[in-house]
Amino acid sequence: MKTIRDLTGAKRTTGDYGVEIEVEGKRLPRTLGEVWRVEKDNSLKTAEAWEYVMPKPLDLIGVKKALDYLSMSYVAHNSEVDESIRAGVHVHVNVQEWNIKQLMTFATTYYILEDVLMNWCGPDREGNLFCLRAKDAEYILFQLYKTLNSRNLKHLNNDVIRYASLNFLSLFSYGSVEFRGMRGTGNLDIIYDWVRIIDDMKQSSFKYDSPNDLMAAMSGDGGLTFFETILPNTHHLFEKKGIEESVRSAARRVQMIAFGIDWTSLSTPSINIFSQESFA
Amino acid sequence: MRGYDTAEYAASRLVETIIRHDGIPVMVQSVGNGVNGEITVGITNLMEDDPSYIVPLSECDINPVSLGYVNHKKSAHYIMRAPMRRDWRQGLRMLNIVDAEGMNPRLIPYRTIAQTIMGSFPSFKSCLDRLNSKEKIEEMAFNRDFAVNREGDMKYKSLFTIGKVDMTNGNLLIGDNFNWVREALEEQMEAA
Repeated sequence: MKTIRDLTGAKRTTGDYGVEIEVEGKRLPRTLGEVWRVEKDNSLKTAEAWEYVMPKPLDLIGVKKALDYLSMSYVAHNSEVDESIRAGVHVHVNVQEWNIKQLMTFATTYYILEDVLMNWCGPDREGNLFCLRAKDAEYILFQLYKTLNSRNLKHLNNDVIRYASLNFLSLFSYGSVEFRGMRGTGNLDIIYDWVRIIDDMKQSSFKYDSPNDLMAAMSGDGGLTFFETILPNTHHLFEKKGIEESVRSAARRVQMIAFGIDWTSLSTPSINIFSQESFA
Repeated sequence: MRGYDTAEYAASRLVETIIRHDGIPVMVQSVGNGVNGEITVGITNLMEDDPSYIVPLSECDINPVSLGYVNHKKSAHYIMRAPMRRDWRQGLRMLNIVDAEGMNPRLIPYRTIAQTIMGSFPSFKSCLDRLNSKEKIEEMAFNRDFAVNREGDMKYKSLFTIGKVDMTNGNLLIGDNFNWVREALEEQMEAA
């Protein structure tokens, strides 16, 4: 099957994760060497507000080092970081070399866990207009369905879906999907935990052949066991109460993707010679 | 989601959008500061013809509302929120609503959408009676996710025709490839 890079024409990039941290506060660092680019962010409203952006994607160890560097810089500047309702952390996952089925299996994994994960990200992130869940703004699932059904990524290349908690618009600029859910926090260990959770989800999603296969596993295992299976290294970070119901209810929402698409035919070239639209 | 830190910022996110107060969908008319410094909102109840009133923002629920099928005039329309960037509103309004079949959502009044937000739908039997009547209704929803048309096609989220209803007795036959919807349908039928 074609890779996401083949399909989007994104410029080739190595590295796994790119992190952007929006910060409001006091005495914030204004330069961070080559580890973080410091940018002005117009969505933030206080006098002192910056966005710290990794110049290039890094592996997990690299992310940890970059966050430690920022943490030391906060200490050196005696910085105060406000947990503002406006500030968020965005984690880009490089999916350039994945095919559409791998991408959708990963996305489905996230959607099944989305409500639990967004609750963990913070009370101001659930239902927040800057990172709406599929339960808040279902249109994202319809656009994914249309994409798969028509075998054409154009349905995701639209600003109308940008403020979903899982943003696909970045596929076209960076070859990444963007997790927008995490709150802006001065506790960089929490941000690192969030990247580890995403990494856990990514590694686990590779073990399933398709969203259909994933959903069958969830049905068989039950919500809580499935949650612990998908997050083998990070599930201990979560309160277990309510996970069973939350996972089952979120899984039902994404059934239209998992079961509404014929995953076996997705990797088959179209027999219509006039059709340019194919993931094969 | 919790509230906002300033009235000015809250106004930029909430005015002329739908949020909830006491579980009821309300339209935010204005945002201001109360006597003790708390943020207040002027709201209109979308379920009744009451005049506007002012309540503390902290009493309101600004989480996105649940949508789905809306029964409007002689058809059922599946509407949902789009997570759009060029809107920047926390509440629901016409600009951030999308109709699954591309109809302009502005054609549906907010008070009609409020029925869906409340989960207020006719029963399955009532839908069949009206579809069989001389009202010439094309399609009716009996909950957020399911609707039936005059030909007896059972629709799920407007995307899938999952089965056929016998319009004489209400018996439903779900297609083999839509067994995955069965549990959701049964639960919703029982709840109704």
